[in-house]
Amino acid sequence: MVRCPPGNSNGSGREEKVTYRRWGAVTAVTKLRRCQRVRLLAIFAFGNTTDVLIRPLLQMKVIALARWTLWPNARHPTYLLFETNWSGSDQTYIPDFGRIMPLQWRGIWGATTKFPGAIPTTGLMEWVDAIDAGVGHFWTDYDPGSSTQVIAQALELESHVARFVANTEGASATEFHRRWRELVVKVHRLV
Amino acid sequence: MGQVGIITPVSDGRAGELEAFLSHLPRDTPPTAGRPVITVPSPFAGALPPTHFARFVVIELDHQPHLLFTSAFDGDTREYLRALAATPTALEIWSHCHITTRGQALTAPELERHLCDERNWRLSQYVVNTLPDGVTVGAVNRALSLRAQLGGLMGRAASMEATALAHDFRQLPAIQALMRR
Repeated sequence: MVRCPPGNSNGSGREEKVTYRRWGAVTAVTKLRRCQRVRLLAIFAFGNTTDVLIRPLLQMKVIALARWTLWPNARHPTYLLFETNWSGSDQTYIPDFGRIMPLQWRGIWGATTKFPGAIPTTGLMEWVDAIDAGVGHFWTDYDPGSSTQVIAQALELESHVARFVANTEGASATEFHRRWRELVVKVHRLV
Repeated sequence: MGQVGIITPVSDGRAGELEAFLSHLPRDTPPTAGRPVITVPSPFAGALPPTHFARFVVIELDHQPHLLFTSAFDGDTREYLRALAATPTALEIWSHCHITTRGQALTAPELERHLCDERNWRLSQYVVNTLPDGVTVGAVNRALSLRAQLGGLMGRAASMEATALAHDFRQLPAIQALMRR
């Protein structure tokens, strides 16, 4: 499997996962235990209607995308495919993911063979390394330098600035300057 | 945001060749302390409707190699897949796969038929996407550009007079674009 460009070691003897621009990527393939269809379809259906299951993960502002897929179909699934993209170090992403959501991990990957449990995370990391097929080719059309956190900040900033533009239309230079100072205080953490 | 996943069996004995082909496509180099990220455009960048994230990877299913292609994108799924099928790189990639039974070279119309066949992409999925609903790649990049330009102006605003500040703010390309919307 294509896993990692050669020489992409982090110095600890463990290879970093493939990173493109700032985006990490994992593609994990796991075989399902027997009779797990209903359990997974229920989790998928619930998960697709609410973010309550993954709210702690979203608050990390690291993950960009996660996708779980049943193969070959939902009627007789034999494999669970998992893909994720995140920005940040893979040294912390999977362990943090496991640490803050151990029940969610068990809920989904408990349906697969050989799942060691999310805690301790060293075992989880070894398992993810073993099942990760890496990425052969990956791309994103986001501008270079973007990350999950930067994108969230930029989108929030844009709404503040749009209001500022509307509120300062036709304002005198003095009034503009006063409102500018207010804007800077409000948005400095987003820039 | 559209989501698609297509899994295609790789032709017998061609998995290694396909992995090598994928690994030689232009890719970014990971950043190091002394060297920033070098951005080399993917052959698909700009050739397809805007793509949030997409990947090709060879995976093992039932002891057989399969090509997994997944993408999160803006726009209509069929239009996206038609555009993908029209790229020479996609044709080259899927030519390693078991699509036709005639034993002849894969053609672009055959690839388009394969990719646009709903039976190939109606997989059961659970997707977590952290972007708010309706936010496109274009909207993300516009917001990133605004952030960068505004950050630059904030850096020099302290030494500017009110009139000059208002002028420079309204001259920022991202602000002009915002005012036109």
